[in-house]
Amino acid sequence: MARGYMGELLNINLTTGTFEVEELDEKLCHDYLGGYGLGAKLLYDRMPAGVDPLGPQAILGILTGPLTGTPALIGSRFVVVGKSPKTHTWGDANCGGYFGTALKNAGYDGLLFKGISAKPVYLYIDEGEYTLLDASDLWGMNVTELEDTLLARHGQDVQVVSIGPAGEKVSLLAAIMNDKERAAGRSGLGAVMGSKRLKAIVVRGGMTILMADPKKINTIRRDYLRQKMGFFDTLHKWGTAGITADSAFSGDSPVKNWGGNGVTDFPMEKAKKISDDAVISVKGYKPYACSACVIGCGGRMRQDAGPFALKLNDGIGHKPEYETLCMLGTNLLNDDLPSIILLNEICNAAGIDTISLGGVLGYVIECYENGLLTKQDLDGLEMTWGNSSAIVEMGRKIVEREGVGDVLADGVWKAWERFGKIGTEYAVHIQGEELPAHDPRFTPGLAATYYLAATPGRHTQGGELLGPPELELDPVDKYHYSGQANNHYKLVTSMEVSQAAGLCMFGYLSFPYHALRDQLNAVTGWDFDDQAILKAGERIFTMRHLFNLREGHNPLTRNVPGRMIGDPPLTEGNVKDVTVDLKLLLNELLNVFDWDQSTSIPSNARLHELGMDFAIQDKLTWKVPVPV
Amino acid sequence: MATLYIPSMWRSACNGEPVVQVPTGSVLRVLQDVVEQYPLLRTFIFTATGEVHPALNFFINQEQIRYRGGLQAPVEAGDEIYIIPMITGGSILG
Repeated sequence: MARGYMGELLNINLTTGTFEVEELDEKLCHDYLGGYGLGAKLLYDRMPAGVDPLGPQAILGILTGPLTGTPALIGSRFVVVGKSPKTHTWGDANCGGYFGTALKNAGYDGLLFKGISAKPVYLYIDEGEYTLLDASDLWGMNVTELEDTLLARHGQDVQVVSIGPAGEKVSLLAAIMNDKERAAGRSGLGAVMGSKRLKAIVVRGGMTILMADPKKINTIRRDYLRQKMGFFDTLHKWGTAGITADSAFSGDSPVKNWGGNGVTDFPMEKAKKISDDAVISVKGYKPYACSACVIGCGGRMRQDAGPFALKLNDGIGHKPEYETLCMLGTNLLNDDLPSIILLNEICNAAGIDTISLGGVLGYVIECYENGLLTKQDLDGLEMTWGNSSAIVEMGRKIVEREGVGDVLADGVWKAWERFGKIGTEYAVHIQGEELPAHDPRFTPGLAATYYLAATPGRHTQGGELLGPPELELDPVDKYHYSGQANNHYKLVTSMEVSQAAGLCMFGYLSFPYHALRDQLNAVTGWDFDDQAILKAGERIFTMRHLFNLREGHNPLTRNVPGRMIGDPPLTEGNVKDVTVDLKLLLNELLNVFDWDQSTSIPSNARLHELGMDFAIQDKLTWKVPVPV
Repeated sequence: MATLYIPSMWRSACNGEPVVQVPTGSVLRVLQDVVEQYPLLRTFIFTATGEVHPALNFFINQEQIRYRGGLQAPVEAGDEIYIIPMITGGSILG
């Protein structure tokens, strides 16, 4: 077995309470690496099409990569995988913290859960030994209280992954949490965990992760640390909070529920209040770093007084990241930083995706401002732009499914349906996933990422916004829509490898591109060259897509939110007059991937080239809709 | 003269100065002038082949230069020029 892997998966049947330890297949690991690459192949093989994502046949996976827990820059990640109950497509969510490393130290590369437990349980793993324990006394606890309880029960050296009350209540906004405040937020996979009555996973271990060439990986780490570049300095000083004001100004951020602009609607004097120095100047600020991370983009701060005082952890909470600051700030014209810090705590404690919450709140505010919803509809709350008190209170209602919060707790698409399909243009989502805080009208290539990737509406799936230093790309004008596909291919496929290998995307963005290849080879003992890296990435990208095709889902039939592409264009601000030619971007990208322009099914030739011949036979039975 | 605002993360390359006075002319002229004043800024602004880094965004008086003629956009006395690199940090007026 290649190094970097522990060599075993643990399968847990929650219905029967039984376990099976499975040896990893080395070829499978070479082809799909780990994380959501390996996860997509395993779930494709083991879950039939058409499974209810919240039913007993649904599999929830937690997977690391070969670089997780190693000295690789930055080997801190694990991924949760499953069929998303929110989008009914492939679902995955990536998380940092310390759990991924701890899981490998406990002896496993991944965990696969199927079935549904009759009563709430949690999984406890202590260096190879595993058992399901009763979680009846833990059910209902928020994430902070839960982790404190489990650490007191099992020792301060365990790591915990869990759901909060939102996951227990099967909210489609539910996240899976680690280290209290690190979130695997997207795709609604917290609801899957809750549907299985699985409250938490607790791991401890001290096993060594073997590496093919430990001396080499340490040398590589030292050498590349001397070459930090790209996003490193910003992340190290402020975290992603460092870009909030600039992104509002430049057009990168959605503003006023994607209908406004950062020059007139959220000018710099407002945006600065929720950005960079303002954020790290909050009382008691200290940086936080995930496992073995040299960047340390996280942080903790104290907010124990005032109307938005934090209620947990003695008033200490996590620094909101850019996505949170934008979606609960810029996007809602809310420049009240303390309110965002409190809402961040509320979301973390309940286990809720802050990006999606921001999308829902934006929809609600705009419907209210335009007379489509009344105060009576909204439990008496005056949901106006920038009304921080109302924003926090509505957020609380949503996470607790209280009153109108119950209508809103499953995302903007469901809310739109439940309210009688009002304010369609205000519901900014693709296939049910609320869009994140980077605007394709500023970075047009992102429109293709959001639209085509297996998980819709995601900014971390590669694309022109986020490129590693020294990756050779063609010089293109971002608003010249033809001729971008080759660049997009490289950005997407290289990102797939980084994610599947267990690396943090911020490492990918902060060190020279070849760190990815060099570290992967040094740890595993494999010999990937540049072309093989991109092919592996394409295989992973394609595998996630095949999962969707087998489900009868064709991404080319997804809805296109007009505001995402500037249809109609904005008339003011720094992305005014922009309408993205998504059709052209997609046509050229489909050619590069050799996917059918109508069905998006990969050609037999490309599947064979990728070593995915199984799909050549399988696709004969697929029935996918085509665009009208 | 016009005023060029330096991104926070670049200021160590220009003696910590948050703003630099630059001549009028065009945006390109402004960039060429500022690297003459502060040579360490060259690698932030220009590629190895002498092109302006494609990941940089420029604004004159809060408007994208794309709406004003790109790198040849005229810079007049009293204008304020801002640079925002893609995915960077520290607000430009900070």
